[in-house]
Amino acid sequence: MARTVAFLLAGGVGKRLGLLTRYRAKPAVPFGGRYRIVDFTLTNCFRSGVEEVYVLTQYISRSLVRHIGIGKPWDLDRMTGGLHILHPHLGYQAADWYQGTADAIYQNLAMLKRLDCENVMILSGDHIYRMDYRAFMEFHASSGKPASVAVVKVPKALASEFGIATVDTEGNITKFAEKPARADSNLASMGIYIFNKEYLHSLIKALKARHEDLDFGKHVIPHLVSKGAISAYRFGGYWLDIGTLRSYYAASLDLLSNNPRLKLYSHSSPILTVPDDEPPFVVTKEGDVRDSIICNGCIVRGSVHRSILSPRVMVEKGAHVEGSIIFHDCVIGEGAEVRNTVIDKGVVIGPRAKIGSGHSLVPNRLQPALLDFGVTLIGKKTVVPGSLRIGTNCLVSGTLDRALIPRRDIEDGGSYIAANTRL
Amino acid sequence: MKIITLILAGGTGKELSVLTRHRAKTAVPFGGRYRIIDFCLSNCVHSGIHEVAILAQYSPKSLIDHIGMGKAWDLDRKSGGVYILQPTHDGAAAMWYRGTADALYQNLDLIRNSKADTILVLSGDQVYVMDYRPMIQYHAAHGKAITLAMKKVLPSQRSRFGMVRCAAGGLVTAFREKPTSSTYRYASLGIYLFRRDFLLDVLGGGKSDIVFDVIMPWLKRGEVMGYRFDGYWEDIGSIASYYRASLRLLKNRLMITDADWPIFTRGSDLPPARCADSSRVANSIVADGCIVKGEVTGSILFPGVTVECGARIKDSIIFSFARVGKDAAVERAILDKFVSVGHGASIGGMRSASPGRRSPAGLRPAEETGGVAVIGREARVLPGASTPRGGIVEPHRVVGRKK
Repeated sequence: MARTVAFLLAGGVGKRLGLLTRYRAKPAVPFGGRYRIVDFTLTNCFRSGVEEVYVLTQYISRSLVRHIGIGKPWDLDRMTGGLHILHPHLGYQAADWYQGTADAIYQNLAMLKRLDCENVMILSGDHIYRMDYRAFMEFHASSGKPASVAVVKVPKALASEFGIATVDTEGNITKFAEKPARADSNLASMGIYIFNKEYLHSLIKALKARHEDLDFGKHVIPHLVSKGAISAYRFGGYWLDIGTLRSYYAASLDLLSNNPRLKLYSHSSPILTVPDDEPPFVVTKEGDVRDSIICNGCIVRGSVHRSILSPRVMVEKGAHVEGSIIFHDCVIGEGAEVRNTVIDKGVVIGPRAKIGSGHSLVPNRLQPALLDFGVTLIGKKTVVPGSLRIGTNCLVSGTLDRALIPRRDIEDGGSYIAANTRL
Repeated sequence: MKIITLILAGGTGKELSVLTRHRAKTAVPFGGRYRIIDFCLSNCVHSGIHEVAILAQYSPKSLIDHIGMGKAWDLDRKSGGVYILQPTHDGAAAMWYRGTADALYQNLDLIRNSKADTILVLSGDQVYVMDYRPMIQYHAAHGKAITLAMKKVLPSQRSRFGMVRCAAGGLVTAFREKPTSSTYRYASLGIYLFRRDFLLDVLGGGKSDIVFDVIMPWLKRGEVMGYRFDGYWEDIGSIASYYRASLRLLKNRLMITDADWPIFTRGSDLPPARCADSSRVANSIVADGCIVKGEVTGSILFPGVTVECGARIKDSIIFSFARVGKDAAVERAILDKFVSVGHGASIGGMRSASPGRRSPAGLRPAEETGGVAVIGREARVLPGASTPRGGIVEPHRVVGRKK
């Protein structure tokens, strides 16, 4: 098979995930208890024999860079090839922030030129899916076109959120519309491409002259479609671009369904991530765990139902957690109640606090588009005082130095945002 | 002060029955995701000791797999690090390690070539958390040839240990190995510090055992100090002590949950534990990759265990990737890796046949394990079959009749 090097676009802001991307890029957002979103794409690379991966970062990359490290969990710590992180940089030729997805490639064009490979695969760090890229590579090799895009069926109702391709039986794309109001097809671009390297190099160079903010979806793909230079590879598996907090919450709780669409529990092909040093999780005599995913290092003295707990979450005596997703190192105090809430890392919920127990469906007043589906979101390292009540569709963010948020109940749809917190 | 550690990991571990049929005792799983040797290895790393030799000879494969190049302990180092030393052929004769002192003697070159001035000798089959640094300071301060760690034990326990009489200043004045009864209050823990020059001088000449051939002769010359250790320490010498030490974690879990002293072990790539709607999990330790649909109480599940609907697991220890089928019952049992328990089967007598009925083939009597059933690696208990309280099933055996 032709040698293929991957570029992984991991600079996205992920605005519609609200506070979860306040301190981290979207690919670094925790998912499924012990994973980060980027783990799924890196695991696909590992299983598809991709041994050279360039990760393009931009938006708050510290947490992502720490997570990926030298790529050891994915066997990408190699003498040849391996994993490299490409930050925006100053230099002789390129000297700017990445203005768009394809511009990120443009800014690294000299490096692209030097790569010893036939094909370049463009991946995104924002997607949750299991895919064998080798089938896609074979398709590309046999298509005879210089570019290929992977497409997947999406519900027609959601078509307006994607780049929609109309594809003939040969795989030729006859029409492509980015986020169309009315879609002619239900095949969405997955934002995953394979290019012949030399072709990509001259294409990006030429198009950059026309578009300062060069973007694959907006500029490159429509251009290729108009030239008939791209064909579509149909991917039949489960694929999810976590666009909004709502889809994040739904995709997380889907892991708890009887037949989850994403298969985490495969002993032969697990999703690979950074290993942990935590003890197994402990349930005490008073503890009660059901219908949940619990990571190593958790200690459950209360009850946890239909929830996902990341490593090292403490649920104290008499506390009740339900329908919630709780990130690393949180403490749920004695007798506290947490329902339908997404809680970021290092949050402390005081004893007998009551979170997310409202009934009304008043959307959040600050960010009605983000929070209107009955879930409350609590930002990183917020400390909630004991006995406080926080309703549904609430947005709560304390400070990173773990100062207590004020002792004032927050009604449904309300918010508390500490000074200095940008939304 | 420069330290090199030698961990004695050569014992056959016959005491652990079918659990040590295919693995060294030091590599026996413990505490839901660890191996026994992880405890002393982690102690070394936390104590700032970065050169550890493991002296192994019995069924070392699982130990070798586990240790790898020592990455999990940050012992994959340019100098020092962890390595496993097995008996070698010296050109003239092939020599097995014939005892603890002989194992040290056969690796004398290691000590001779090392820059260490102090040798820490540990036993790889003990479960405890200990900072060796105060003991090392104590050893240095007294300047004697040998310091041994010791701990007060109850009179009823004394026949299990080497008992030590210690003078007020800490000098060991007498030592009796496993006395039927003893007025000495301290047990030697099998944790020793030796002065390098002393060890180089004294080993050889047919000495095989550290206690009889080194400690005993030299305490008469006033060269052995006792260092008192007050923490929890358990020598995993029998199924009963293994079972007791394991389930103790349910009451006293700090040994594995102390964030300031994590126990390091080889990582796994499994997803987090999944407890289904039908599950009931209480008073238990559950590792990653487990899928629990049944009831688990008072038990420890290692990574990747599956417990089907209606199954009940009580007061048991289940090793990695074992599978307990629908409506099966497991009580007071240890299931080794990959054991499979069929639909409605019963282990450990929760639903056992009436007494007096002949045991099914492949089973041995209960006395050996103190009433704990032990099912060997990859054994299969077929649907509807049962094994009695304390029954042992050899690895790979099939219990019950196929329908």
